[in-house]
Amino acid sequence: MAELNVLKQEDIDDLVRQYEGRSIPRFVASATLASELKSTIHYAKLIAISSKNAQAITARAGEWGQGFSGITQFIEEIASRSMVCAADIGAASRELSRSAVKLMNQQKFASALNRSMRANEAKSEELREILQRNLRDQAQLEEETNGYYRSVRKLLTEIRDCTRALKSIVANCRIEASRAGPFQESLFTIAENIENAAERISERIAIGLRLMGLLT
Amino acid sequence: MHSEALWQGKRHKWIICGRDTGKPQKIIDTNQYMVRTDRRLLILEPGGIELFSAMLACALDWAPIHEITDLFASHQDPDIISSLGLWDQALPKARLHAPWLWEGFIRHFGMSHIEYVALPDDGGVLELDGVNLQLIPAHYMHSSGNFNVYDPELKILMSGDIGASLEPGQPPLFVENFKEHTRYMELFHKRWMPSNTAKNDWVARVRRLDIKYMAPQHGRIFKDDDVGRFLDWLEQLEVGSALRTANR
Repeated sequence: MAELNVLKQEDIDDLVRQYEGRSIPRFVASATLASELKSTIHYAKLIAISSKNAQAITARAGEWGQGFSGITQFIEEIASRSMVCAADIGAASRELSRSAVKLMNQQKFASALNRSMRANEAKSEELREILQRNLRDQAQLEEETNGYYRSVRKLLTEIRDCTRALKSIVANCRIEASRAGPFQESLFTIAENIENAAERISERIAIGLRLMGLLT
Repeated sequence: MHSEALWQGKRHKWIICGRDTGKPQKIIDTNQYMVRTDRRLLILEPGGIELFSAMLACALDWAPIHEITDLFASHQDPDIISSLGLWDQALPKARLHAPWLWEGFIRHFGMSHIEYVALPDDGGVLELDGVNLQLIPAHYMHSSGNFNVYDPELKILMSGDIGASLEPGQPPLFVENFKEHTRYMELFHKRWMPSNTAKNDWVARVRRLDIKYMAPQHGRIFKDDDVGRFLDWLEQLEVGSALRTANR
């Protein structure tokens, strides 16, 4: 299994600088996004595991754990939705990268055809037909690429909302943990783990949104 | 595309990318290797155009794009380096290490940003973040300008097309039964290797290296005693089979 890459905001600034005025190709930004968001699945899994642990503790805690217990189901649902979103973002970003590569090849082909047409004006009509076909293919690929782009953006927004919800639940978790008597410490730890994982996801989403900015 | 770290050194690791279930059926399966240090990633035999998207995604799992700084092409074949035009667009700053002999040919794949580092016939050293990889001449094995990459610390020889096998399906990464395995290598070596003289010269050169793993660009990897078995097998094999067919 590959290591989880974690680009920071300053790494992206650095990346933009390294291209020295060239725009970062869409297929690079989207493939990077797919790779960067992989760790989100890992953190969402950690949240789901924390929630399971909380369930086990609250079951043992009986009345002490009733308040916290009511929240765990909700946490698990959000974590599970986040995992699905993250996996879907990965798949859509990879498709986006693939179609962006195809589009670039078609564009290169069109540019070569145009050069041929200029070089051999007598035969340019024959080539024009090929060019028209190419332009139609390009339009289709453009549409496909934009479709993936929209999907990725929508999923990123959804996972960001999930994370916001998780962060606000953490506040409730702390309140309920403080009422859990002898189980207080364990449940505080769980709340902290959930908060940390949600924070890591937020950071990844912020990077994802930066990378999306480079795709436009 | 499957990827995993195979060997770990003090400051670097070797990663394989391959067994791509998503590749078009009729193109030959290839192994791509990567050497990762703290700050750089070298891709050995980056592959063909058809593999590019999968390969880019795979490489990005191990390093951010600006740390992919070096490419190596043992020779000019399309399954080795026809993706160059796309890597050229993708990488902000990178160098391609490839035989001097093929520069004018390889540039046909498209290269405006990447720097071509022309390897002299007697090879040399590829330095990556303090890790020294030796470039071992393998000319006429099968290409007329051809190199292997040897890692003296981890005792790995990335042998390019030498040791390649054409095996159907998704075979395991390592040779398990050498004798059985020869049937998947025989045609490849008899036909794609043109010269017995070059072959024996290469075998003698490689025998002087301490090799624990021999990693070809197609098929399974040899380890431990299977490396020696491969050299013995290749040494006795008559290559250049098409010449005999043509003169019949």
